[in-house]
Formats: sequence, C-alpha cells, structure tokens
Amino acid sequence: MSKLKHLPNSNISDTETIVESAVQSHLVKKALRFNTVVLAIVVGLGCAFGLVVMTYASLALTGNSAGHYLNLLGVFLPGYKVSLTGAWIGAGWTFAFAAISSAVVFRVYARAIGMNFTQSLWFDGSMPAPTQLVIMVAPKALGLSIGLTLALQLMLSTTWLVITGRADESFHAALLANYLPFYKVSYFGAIAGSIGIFLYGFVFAYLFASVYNTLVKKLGGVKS
Amino acid sequence: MRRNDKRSTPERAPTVAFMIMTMFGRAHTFAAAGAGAIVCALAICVATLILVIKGAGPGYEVGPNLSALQLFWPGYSVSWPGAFVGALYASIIGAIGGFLVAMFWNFAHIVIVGAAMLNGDWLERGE
Repeated sequence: MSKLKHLPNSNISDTETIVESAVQSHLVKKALRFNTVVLAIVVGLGCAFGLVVMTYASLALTGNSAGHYLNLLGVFLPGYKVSLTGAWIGAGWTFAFAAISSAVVFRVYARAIGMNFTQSLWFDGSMPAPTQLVIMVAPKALGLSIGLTLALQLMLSTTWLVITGRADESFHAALLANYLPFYKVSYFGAIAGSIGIFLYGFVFAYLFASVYNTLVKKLGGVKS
Repeated sequence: MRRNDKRSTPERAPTVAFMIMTMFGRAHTFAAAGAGAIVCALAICVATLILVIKGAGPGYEVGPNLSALQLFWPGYSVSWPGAFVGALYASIIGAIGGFLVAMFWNFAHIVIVGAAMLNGDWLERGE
C-alpha cells in the first residue's frame, strides 16, 4: 500500500464530505461497536483484577483486621467482602460496572469526536501505512466523556445510598465533600457533587490526552 | 478547525478500508504509561494537598482515611512530603495501568481481528 501523505488544505472540505458519508456506513458502525466491546472487556478485566489484588494484599498485610475500608464496597457490590471468595464475587460485579462504564465512555467519546476521528492518528510521513498508525486522543472529547460518566456514577451511587436508607451512616461517602463543594449524601448533594466530579474528570482526562498525544509525537509513534 | 500538518489524512479520498484502519490504530503503550503516571501522580498529590491545606481541628488528625493508603504505600502520609511520596507511588501504578490498558487494547485487536479475518466476513456477521 502506498504511503500516506499530508493532505493539501484545498482538499480538506472534499475529504470531509467523503469522510462524513463514510462515517455513516455500515462498516464504521461495526468498527465502533467492536471497539466498544474491546474497551469494555479490557477495562472490565483490569478493574476486576485490581480489586482482587487489593483484596488479597489487604488480607496479606493486615490479616484478621483486613477490610476496614474495602468492605464498604459491599454496599455497591452485593456479596463482596475482604475474603478469599468475596474477592471473586466483587470481581464479577466490578467487571460488570467497569465494562458498562467504559462502554459509555467510549460511545460518548465517539459521538463527541464525530467525523474528526481520521485526524486522530499519528504517523510520520516516512512511515508505511497502515500498520504504523497510532491512535491519538481528542482531549476535549475524552474529558467530556469521562466527566459525564463520573458524574452519572456519583449521582447513581449517591441516590442508591439515599434510597436504601444508608444516607445517615455513609460517613465515608460524605468525606467527598472535602473535594466536592456542597456534596453530601442526599439528592441535592448528588447533583452538586456531580457537577464537581465532572470538572475533575474533565480536567484530568484532558491532561491525560494532552500528555499522551505529546508523548506519541516525541516518541515517534510506532515502537510500542 | 485547527489542523496539524502531521496528522493523518490520506492523499486521496479515504477508502472504506482506510476508515476501518483508523478505527484499529494502535495505542502507544509507552505514551499511555507516561500519561497515566503523570495524571495519577498529580491526582494523589492534589488530593493530599487539599486535605493538608484545609487542615483539621486542634487535636484531630488530618486525613485519617486517606492516610490508610500507607498500608499499601509505606512512607505515605497526609502531609507535604507525603504528597510527593504518594505521587511517586501513584505514578508507578498509573504507568503500569496505562501500559497494560494500551497493551491489552492492542493485543485484543490483533487477536480478534486476526481471528475474524481468518474466519472471513466478520463485518457481515452479527446483524
């Protein structure tokens, strides 16, 4: 296949028109769905693995007194507790929640980035295409998608605590007020906290994408 | 719309094949590791320093719950030096996390796309 080269500015509008129509195509929709599933599986497995590691580490480090904090996750992960078997029950729930969350993130990201996704690749003009294509990340779109997902998660989890009557005893959740102004375990607090956590999510995701893109350019893109 | 002259667009109109390939671009593992490290380090540093700056009432410990991280991170505490110790630990975890996510992303694409290509007509199935 011939090398990719830079497109002269005069052809950009024509290209965008073609790209726009192609975005609507059956193939691209399939690819989007495929990437959503891949990301969901990767992130779901990663988070589940992380929970198992933390649980076992907690058991190994603190023995019988393990789980002072981690056991609180049982509120959201039914059946989870800091034990050898509880870790795997929690891992199942964690996989489900993380997979759903990352799927939401990716779909919002894909929608936000829209037809600009063909610009979201990095390559050196001397590199052969397509095997050397390296994805870049759109900072604003990633910030938006992660911020919105975090806000939704906080709203749902706080509402869950209120609905199940645990609001008054959720001392640890209430500690989020240290970082999220006006947050408390209540319906109003859920909304106020969601705004705050959206901003945190946006800023950190934007930073992540910017650093990632910069490093891709600095490192040359392909030796990964 | 801002353009970067090194960002990719094909010289000719993009074919469907090119469009699909753009969806399967590789994640750069080292860049993901670097970005993960920086973001995680900054996050834990900010989280710690917010508590340090806010402080606690006389006789109370600052950030007793966040301090529980010292179980996993020896030397960490909710204090000015502890913020940087925590940032160091978080950067390692962020780097590993970023690297693994990018690596598994690439691996999943290679395996699944490869298997699907061997099977043929993967794009035609699943409707």
